[in-house]
Amino acid sequence: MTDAFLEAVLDTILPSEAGMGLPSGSAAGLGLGRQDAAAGPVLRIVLAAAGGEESFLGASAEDRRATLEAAERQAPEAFRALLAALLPDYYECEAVLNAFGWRADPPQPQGHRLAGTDEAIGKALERVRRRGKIWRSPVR
Amino acid sequence: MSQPGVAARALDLKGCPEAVKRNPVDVVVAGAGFAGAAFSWRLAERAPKLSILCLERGDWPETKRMPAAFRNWQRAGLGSFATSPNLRLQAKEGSPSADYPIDDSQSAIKPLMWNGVGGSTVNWAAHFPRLHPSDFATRSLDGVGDDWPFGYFDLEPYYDLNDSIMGVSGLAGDPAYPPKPRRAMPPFALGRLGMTAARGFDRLGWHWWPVDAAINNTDHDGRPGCNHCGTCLIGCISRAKASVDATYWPKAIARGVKLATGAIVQQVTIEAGRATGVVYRDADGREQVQPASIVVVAGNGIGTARLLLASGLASPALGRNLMFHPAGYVRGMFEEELDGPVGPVGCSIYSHEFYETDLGRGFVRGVQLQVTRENNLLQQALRLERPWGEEAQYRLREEFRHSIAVLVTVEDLPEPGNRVTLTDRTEADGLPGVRLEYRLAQRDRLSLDFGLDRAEEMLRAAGARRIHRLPLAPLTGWHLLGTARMGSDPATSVVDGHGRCHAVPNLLVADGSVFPTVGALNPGSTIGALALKLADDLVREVA
Repeated sequence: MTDAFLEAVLDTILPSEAGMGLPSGSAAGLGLGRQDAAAGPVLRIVLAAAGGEESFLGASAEDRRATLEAAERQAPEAFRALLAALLPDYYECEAVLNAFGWRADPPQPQGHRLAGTDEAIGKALERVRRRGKIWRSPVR
Repeated sequence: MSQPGVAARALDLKGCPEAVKRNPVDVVVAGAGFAGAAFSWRLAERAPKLSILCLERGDWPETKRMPAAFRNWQRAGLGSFATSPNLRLQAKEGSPSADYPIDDSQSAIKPLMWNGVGGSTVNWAAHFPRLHPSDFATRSLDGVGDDWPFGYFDLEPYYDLNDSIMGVSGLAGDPAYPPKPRRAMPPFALGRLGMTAARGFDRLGWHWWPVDAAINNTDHDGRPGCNHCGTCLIGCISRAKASVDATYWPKAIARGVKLATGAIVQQVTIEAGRATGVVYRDADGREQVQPASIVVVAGNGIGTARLLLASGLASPALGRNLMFHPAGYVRGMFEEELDGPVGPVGCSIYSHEFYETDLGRGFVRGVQLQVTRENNLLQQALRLERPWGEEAQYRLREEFRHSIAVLVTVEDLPEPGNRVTLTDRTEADGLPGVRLEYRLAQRDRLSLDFGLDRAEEMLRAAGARRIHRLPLAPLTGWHLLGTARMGSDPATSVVDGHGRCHAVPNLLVADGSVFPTVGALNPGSTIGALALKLADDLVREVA
């Protein structure tokens, strides 16, 4: 399998989205290894379903996606295993986190800021309080 | 010698020539989770002359191994710090939790826990509600389940004491409860997510209230205030979250309780209708015989049942009536940006508008709506039906930081067919394998659907533009309850109202296994309060 084919499969699974600055899987630094235990079975199915590498590379984005959907239907467990191997690397990539408006640094030690409760909410809570007891007495 | 009601599993200690007989203790406690910790501390405080030894299969949690300070922290929730012990056992990198496999193939809900000092408080969300007074009297009030041997107001002082040890952030005055004392710390800010949900409840005129959280909102009791990192379920590095390894255990040890880690109890030894102690495997794999005058088991609704079944305690109700709290989610997607992934995950607001029975709904007992905080990016992606391709990225963009999740939990009533049993396998920890059988009753489905409808109504009132429902969330089995239930009839219960086994009175169960019924909400607060009460009951008995 050529690098171009592997990259095309990967970027069909994890495409870029220019509008939000989201990189594709390959641009995020991920790769599909030819011998990768998680990728191998899916790649072979895709290859067969597409009718060869050239055919897959020449297909439209929509047709590539349809080929992968067929592979997912044919080998759901293998496909899930491939996703389980790819998605953590992708969604922990700094550029991907930033594209979704999140920071790449871990949650600790700096933590996050939680917006304070506004005054209107305090008044709404007072309405709940004024309603009085809603618990049920245990004595019938 | 075996007695009626006791069919002991023969532990072949002859095959273990190095088995060591240890010096007797007054009380041996199996399990250092919430119940074991609270029980041990209270017993040591009230009866300081007693020698108390707690045996814990796992180790102390180490904050330096917790993932929240590492860049790949998100994936830890799928592997070494997953909430499910079965998932952790599959983690290539291993896990600090000392897990055993659980055959949950016949269970609609999958069990979650942590095995180590602190038990499941290490990776819990620390939502800390009390049961309602009516929860203790479901048979009298509604003709279902069974009444507890005591009521809310008997447990109330222990709830208060438990709150003071754990440290609670919250707001007194909730009309869904009898008056509670002023909470030690103010409630957590609601954030944009919580305020949006509160507006939804308010528009409908429904009850809502900020949660009681066993998490420091400010510096308290030697632990810092929470910095809202949002990683409660993979361990709290800052120690702001109350886990009993940081609350009860230091106090218990200061009072003289001995705690041994890596000690896997294999069997409670029973002779002539009396518990004589336990046999455990120590951290080096050697069998140890620990004589004790009183044996207390606190290993959660699965671990306790497993140990007692393996010990041959032949009580007909043992292992039966497993209860979890069936749960589902409704998630609302909003146009405006929210702050879902920020802050303590279980701690926003809840509604008990539908908690008490209303026969007009077509079922008895009730429903809790809990507005939780949201997933990290990876977990939010994996939650999608098809988490790849352009469609997934479009959905994720629409949902991440724009969603509110409402967790709907309903009352799980005792059903003898829902149970914990042993398998024919011997697991690596030396104990028999364990299997769950659990299915939802028709009533559960009715009440869950009702709650999901109400959650959707609230989210729409709050302005959600799209709704997604998860009618049953399988990975929500935190609450492991009912398998050694309290009662007066040995045919239908395992222990009496003081936690003593009917068949073996000096063998006590002190954890959530003894709940006869479970309400519709998180049991941690009640597990702690109950353990304190059972310790006091024991003190009165031995004094």
